Parts: sequence; structure tokens; C-alpha cells
Amino acid sequence: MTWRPSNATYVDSLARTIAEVEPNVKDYLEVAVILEIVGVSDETARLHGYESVFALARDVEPLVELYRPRTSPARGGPLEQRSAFILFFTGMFYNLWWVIMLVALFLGGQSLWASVRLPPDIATSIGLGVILGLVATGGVQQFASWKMTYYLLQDNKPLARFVMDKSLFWGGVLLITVGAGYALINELILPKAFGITLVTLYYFLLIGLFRLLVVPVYAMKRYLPLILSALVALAFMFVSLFVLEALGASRTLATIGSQSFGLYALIVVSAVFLFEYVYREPREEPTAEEPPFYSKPERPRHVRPPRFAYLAHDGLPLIAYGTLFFVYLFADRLVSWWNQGDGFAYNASYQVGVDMALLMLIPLTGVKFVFIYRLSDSMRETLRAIPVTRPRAFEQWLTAFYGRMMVAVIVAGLLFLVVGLLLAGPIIAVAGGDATSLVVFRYALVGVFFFSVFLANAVFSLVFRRTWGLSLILFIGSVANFIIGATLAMSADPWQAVFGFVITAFYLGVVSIGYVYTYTSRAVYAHYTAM
Amino acid sequence: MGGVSTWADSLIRGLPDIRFEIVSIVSNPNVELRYRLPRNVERIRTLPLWGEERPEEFNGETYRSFLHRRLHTRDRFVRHSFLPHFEDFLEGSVNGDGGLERVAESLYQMHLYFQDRDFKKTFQSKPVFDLFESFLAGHQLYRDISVLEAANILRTLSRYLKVLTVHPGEADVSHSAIASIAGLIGVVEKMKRDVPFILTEHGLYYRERVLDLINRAPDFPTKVLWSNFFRTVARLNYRYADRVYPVCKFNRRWQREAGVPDDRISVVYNGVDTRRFRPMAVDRPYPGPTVTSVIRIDRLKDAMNLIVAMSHVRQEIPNARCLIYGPAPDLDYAQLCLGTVKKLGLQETVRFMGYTSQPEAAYNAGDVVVMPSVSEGFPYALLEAMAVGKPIVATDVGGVREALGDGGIVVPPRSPRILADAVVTLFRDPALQAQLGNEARLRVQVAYPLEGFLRQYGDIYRGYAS
Repeated sequence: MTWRPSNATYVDSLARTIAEVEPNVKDYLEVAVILEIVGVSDETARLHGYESVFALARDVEPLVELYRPRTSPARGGPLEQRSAFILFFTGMFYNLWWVIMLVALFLGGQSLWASVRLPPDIATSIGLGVILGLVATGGVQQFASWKMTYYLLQDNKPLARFVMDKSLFWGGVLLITVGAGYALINELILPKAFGITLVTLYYFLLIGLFRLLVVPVYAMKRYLPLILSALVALAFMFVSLFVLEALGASRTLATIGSQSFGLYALIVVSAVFLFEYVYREPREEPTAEEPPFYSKPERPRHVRPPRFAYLAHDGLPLIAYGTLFFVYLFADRLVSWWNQGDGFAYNASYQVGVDMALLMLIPLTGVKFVFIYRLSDSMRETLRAIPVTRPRAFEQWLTAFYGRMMVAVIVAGLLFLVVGLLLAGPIIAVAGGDATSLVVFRYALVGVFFFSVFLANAVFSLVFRRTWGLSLILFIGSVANFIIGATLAMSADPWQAVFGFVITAFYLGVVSIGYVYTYTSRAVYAHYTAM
Repeated sequence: MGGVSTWADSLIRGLPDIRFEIVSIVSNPNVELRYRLPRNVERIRTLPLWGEERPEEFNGETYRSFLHRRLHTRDRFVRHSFLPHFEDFLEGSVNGDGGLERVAESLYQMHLYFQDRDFKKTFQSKPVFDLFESFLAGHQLYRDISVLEAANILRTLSRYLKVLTVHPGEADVSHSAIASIAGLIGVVEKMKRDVPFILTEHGLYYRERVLDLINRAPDFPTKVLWSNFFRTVARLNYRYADRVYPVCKFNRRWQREAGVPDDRISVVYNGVDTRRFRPMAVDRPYPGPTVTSVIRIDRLKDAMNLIVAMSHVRQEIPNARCLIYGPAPDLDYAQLCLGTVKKLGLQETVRFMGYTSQPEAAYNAGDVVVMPSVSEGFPYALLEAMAVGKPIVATDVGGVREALGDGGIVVPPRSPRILADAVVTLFRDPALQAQLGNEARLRVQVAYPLEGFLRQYGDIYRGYAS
């Protein structure tokens, strides 16, 4: 063998170059790839006494380690920090729509869903229409929001449109079917005045349509449109109420007329935002930073849509959850309507008590949001820092995170519960309730406390896409709410339906904690299946 | 459009008597068809690797059979019928142990398994996840991989293995245009029905993956894992291909290094349509000495090399101009190029012309064509420029030297001064320009005509059909 110092220098310099490009080379083939990129060919290798680049790479590879930098590049950057205060209020924004409506109800005596100013049969029809509208579209809305977010995150508007088209179509079919079914039952089985049935169907369709149109605003978490649509709707409602009353319309006609105008406004504003977010194709003008020859990645335009049956199949758990959420929420109210002296009739006393208690959910959503907002990012960072040999470390972290969230929700919930109980009288007085409302309010507050625990667990579980379990828990809760509420209401007093809510909310809170445990005890796997 | 799609279109369109079924493996479902399908394409099946939740969203399966498979995919069955093969696959591919036959057998068995069982449910099952986790945890190197990365790897692996759900129709021969997961369909078909499998390689899949890993892998163990996987996939292609057809001799070196015997390798050069790419009179944007380059403006094609070279050219020939045609998909790099042009005061000298659908006119609009890349296979752009009869200065990468022969000047990559010297030499010597241009065109007509390319593949296909 001949000692060739010039070759040694050459190989050494190549090793240094390789280490600059990639300090951690795997093998000589990787070295060969880099050598070719920096311009070494078989010909150059032969000039230095090697038969090929591969032969040269075999000699260079062991030397690369000598020039490896001592420090390794940092992994990722710090997480974005936002103050808990801001997050709390951001979380509350999700319920702002409800808040605005309730404030309108208190200040103006009129809202888009409450019908306290009306004769009982009209109020019952409206209430039923609203509840049916929410129940019928709850599932479609959850499904459409989920899938639309999926496609919008991929910047794929055509498929977001596809989901919206299908959701509108099937949502429409659902509205027509449920509406026709309701009309049929009302006319054949439980005969009622046709006009009363029409009022229910009218509200049912308006609420249903609005809920379908507002999907993208919820899916994309656009706060401004949410607030704007509520304010525009209220403005229309109050102005038309004033005009109709000034024109001498009856109280019933003025109320229904103004609510109609409010809902029309809501539907139109939602349709405008739907068009803006989903159907309008933005014109892409080059920015000042983009050179004229820059070929911006094209947004997909003509895409082949997936087969909808499979999207719907994967969305079934969400459809079930979205529907059952409202079924559960209204179960005890419907029971309280059923068992009054004059048959099935709107129970304003009960309604005011429960609605006021549900207000407690608004600040609790804010508390929950402070945690949930950070969950995905924090999880990613934690998972990045834990080696695959220690999956238990992630379970411990997640359990601790969940524990902190639960403590915060429970402590805040107890605090609001105490405040609510202390201020029960004045609150119900402002809302226009009576003595029964006050009793219902006090018990319902306890139910809402447990329900908020369930909701925190539900949102947590949705992050892990554990929706079937939630739906099952809700289904049992809904059935139990009906049965317990009805039993108590029939044997005692209609207001006692609230115990159905309290008992089942307790069940939901406790069982959902157990449910969260079933997957957080296999946290790494749970995270994987949710990816 | 890329070289491989040009190649596939020329091949299918040029052989109307051969019927094709195409399996198109794409990154996402939104990829649009850029070519009109010729009549001899019987079916095109698109398999998006990403952008969907389950393969059934885009395949033609009935909902009923999907439900049947889903209902019959239980953890117990996954444990008994899938895990042993998946484990073999991991051992053989990611670990590099156990031989290619074992990996191929595991792929075949997984393919059979997915005929009756649900793909998504299997890969989301706890047994699969547990196996993968313990596989990594038990490995000396992979045990340092983070939990997050482990989940990413399993998810990505499952995306790649979606090719195992493809059931092509009965064919006389399977032909893969890349030694990647696409070729695994051919490997499985060979094992299943003994369908002959041939492989054409344009770029070198393993080499390109390694380059990508150098830039993207989050850590060393992950890079090793993926590098092993990609190498195994490439080697499986080579091992099970009846014949390997590199587009140039340069690629053959890598195939030999991967263990493919010489007698199974035959170079089939790409062919150029010399009726479309020919010398022609065009409206020149600039009447003086002009360099043209038709390249994608990115790091691999190294437009920066040409820009810096032009600063040297201008010192010698102040009225020289450079027209760079091509899209710039990388905004950062485009801005870097523009900034360099400005910094070197080359605003008058270098002009970015943007994407052109008429490269033949672009080549004819200058006097010298430059290809400044750091990496190439056997580039169509080079052959097209040669067919136009322009003298070429190109970097000595991939199959460039082999393609060019004496029809141009080859310079080292990333050496703008040498590149500039070659350009100046050509500008100052019109006779040399004409001589190299003529030789280039002649070389294309003799060695790389479209007809020759089609004849070779036609013979290959018919050979298997008979």
C-alpha cells in the first residue's frame, strides 16, 4: 500500500465539508449522496486514487464524526404564552350569543327564543319549534364544523364547499322529514289547531336553517360575525317590534312578527358570512414581497370529492353527540311542560329558573378554555420531550394537566354556585320569574355545576376524538333525565322535573370523569389515535 | 411539469396499441390531472397518501363491503393475523434485519390481510401501536426517539403502506416509474400472480430521500429509521424487478451499488420530440449576446450559481444578458435570487421571465443555454435544449455529462467563475457555438429520438405480453 499524504488531506477536507452539511451521517451511502451534491464525481474520485465515489465515501465516513459540532440544534421554540385572563374572556366569547340574547330578554322583555309575553299555546308552539330546530340540527352542525375545519386547515375550499353543500342538503332533508313527521303526529295522533302546528313548524324551520348556515362561523371560531349577527338580529327585532306595536298590531302578532324579522336578519347575516368564508374564492393578488416570477402554490380548485358516505360514517359519533346534547339539555323542560294542569304547555316559571342557572356555564366555559386552549400545543411539546421508552411519563403529565383543569372547573363552579345561591332572589326577580322559578333556579344551579364538569370532560375528550363514549353517556343521561323527571313531575309537581336534571347531571359529571380515565391511562395511544 | 410526467405521457401516448391501467400515487386528493388521458388508458386509479381519513373515501369499494371489513376487524384478529407480518416488516425494513424476502413476504401477507380487514382500524388498533412502541423501545438507537415522533412515524408508515390496499387488474406486466413505495404494488403482484415487474428510474429514489432526510429529519435516530425504510423499499424494487431500466448510466452506478446484477440493468434513454424542439426563428427579447436557462428556480437547480456567474460574464462582455425562464415555487429562494441580482447590480443583465409553456421558444431566444444545477438525473430540459441546436454549458451532475457528450461544455457544480469562463468562451467564439450546437442536435437525433425510446419500450411490453 502506498502512503499518499495528499489523499489524506483531500479525504479530511471532504469529511469537514460533509460535517458542515450533515454532522450525523448514517453510512457511506449518505456520504456519497452529499459528495455528489458538492460536486464530487467518479472522475474526481479516480483522480485521488479511488475507483468511485462510493469507495471514497467509505473512507470519508469515519472521519466525519471528528468534525461534528459539539452542540445540537434546539428542538422547536417556546410555546406561545397568552394570559389566562385573555383566554378566559376568549372562552366566554363562545357563549356571547347566548349572553346577548338573554340581556336583550331582560332589558327589552323580548328575545329570539323566549316567549313569555305570549299566550301559553303560542308560547308552547314557539318553544317546541326552537327545541326541535336545535335538536334536529345539532348533529349536522357538529359534523359539518368538524369536517369543514379539516378541509379549511388544508386550505381546501372546494372540499369545504363540498361538505357545506352536503350538510345543507342533508340538513334540509332532515328538517323537512322531522317537520313533516311532527305535522303528521300533531294532526293525526295529537290533534291540535293547524295554526299552532304551523307556528311550531315555522320556528323549527327558521332556527334549523339558521343553525345550518352558521356552521362556518362556529367552525372557524369567528367571534366578530357571531357578535355582529346577534346585534343585527336584535336591532331588527326591536325596531320591528316598536313599529308593529305603533301600527296597532296585537301583542302576539307583534312578538311573532318581530322575532321573525330578527331571525330573518340572523339568517341573512349568517348566509353572507357563509358565502364569504366558504363560497367566495378570494382573488389572489401578489404581495409586495413576492417577485413577479414567484409561482405561488396554487389553491386546489377542481378537486375530486371524497365519497360522502365515508365522511358521514366517520362523523357519526359527532352527529350523535351533537344531537344528544340538545336532547339532554331540553329533556327536563319538556317534561315540566307535559305535566301541568292544562296538558302540554310552556312552563315559563320553570324555563326562567333553568335558563338563569344555565348562565353559570358561561364563565365556566371561560375557565375551561384557559386549559383547553393550551392542551394540544402543550401535549405536543411534552410528547416531543419524552423518549419512547417512557410512555408513563406522558400519562403522568396528562393526568396532572387534567387534574389542574378539573380543580379549576370545580373550584370556579363551586364559587359561582355559592354566589348564585346567595343572589338567587334578585336574579330571578330581574328575570321576571316567580317563587317556583326561584326553587327551580336553586336546584338547577347544582345541576349546572355537575353539568359543567361533564362539559369540561366532553371538550377534553373531543380533543382525543373520544366521541362515541360521550354519546353513549349522554344517551343514558337523556333517557334517565326523561324518566326521572317525568316520574317526579307526575307524582308530585311539574317543577320537580329539575331533579331529573340534577341527578343526571351528577351522573354525567361522575361518569365522564371515569370515561376520561379510561383513555388517559393509555395516554400515548389515545393521542396517536386522535392524530 | 416534471420530467417523469412528461416521460409517462410520451410513453403512453406514443404506444397506442398497448393498454394501460395507471395507479397514480399522489400526495393529496387535490392533485389535478394535467394531461388529457389517451384512449389506451383503461383506468386511472388515484391513491392519495394524505388529505383523507381512510382509503375508502377515494376507492370504488361498496359501503357494504367496507362495513363488513370494519366489523370483522377486531383486536384479537389484528393480534393473530396482522401483527406477526407487521413485526416481520419492521424487523426487515426499519431494522434492516432478516433479508428482503422476509420483508416481501410480510408485505404480501399484509396485502392479503387488507382484502378482508379494515386498514384504518388495524393501524389505529392498540396491538399495532403497542407493538410499534415496544419495537422502538427495544432498539438500541430508536429508543431515543420521542413519543411524538414515534406516533408520527407509525402514522406515516401506515400512509405509505396504503399501497397494499391496491388491487390492480390483471396485466401482462407491472411497470413502476420509481423505486419507491409505488413499486411495492409490482412486488406484491409478482408474488401474488407472478406478473413480471419492470422498473424505470429517473431520479434515484433512495438518494433523493436521503437528501430530504438531511434537511428534514428531526433527529438522528429518526433519520436512520427512515433511511433504512427507504433503502429497503428501493432494494425491494431492485430485487423483485425482472429488469431495471435506468434513464442513464449514472443511475446504474447506484443500482449496482444496491446489488442489482449488471445483466438485469439496461439503460433506456429518454426520447425527445425533435419536431417540436428544433432550431426556429423566434422574437428574441434581447438582440445582443444572450444566455437562456429553463429551470425551476430553487436550490437544487441552483439559479444562484448562474446569477453569480453572470456578474463575471458581464465584466468581460458588458452587453451580455441572461433570461431565466421557469417558476419559483420557493418564495425565500426567489427573494434571495432577486436580492443577489440587486446586490451585484445585475438588474439590467439578469431577467426572470417566469414560467413558460413554450420551452422550445425560450431556448431559441438565446445564444447559449446554461443548466446550473447541483443535482440532476437525465434531464429532459437538457435534451430539449440540445435538440434546439444551442450550445450548452451545464454542471457535471447526474447524467448530464453522459447526455451532453461533445455537444456542450461541462463545468463543476457551484463554481460560478468556471461557469462564467465557459459562457464567455462561447460568446467570443461563434464558430464554437455553432459547432457545439450542431453536435448537440445531431446527438439527440441519433441517441435520444422519441421514436427510439418508444420502440424500446414497445418491444419490452410486447415481449412480456407474448
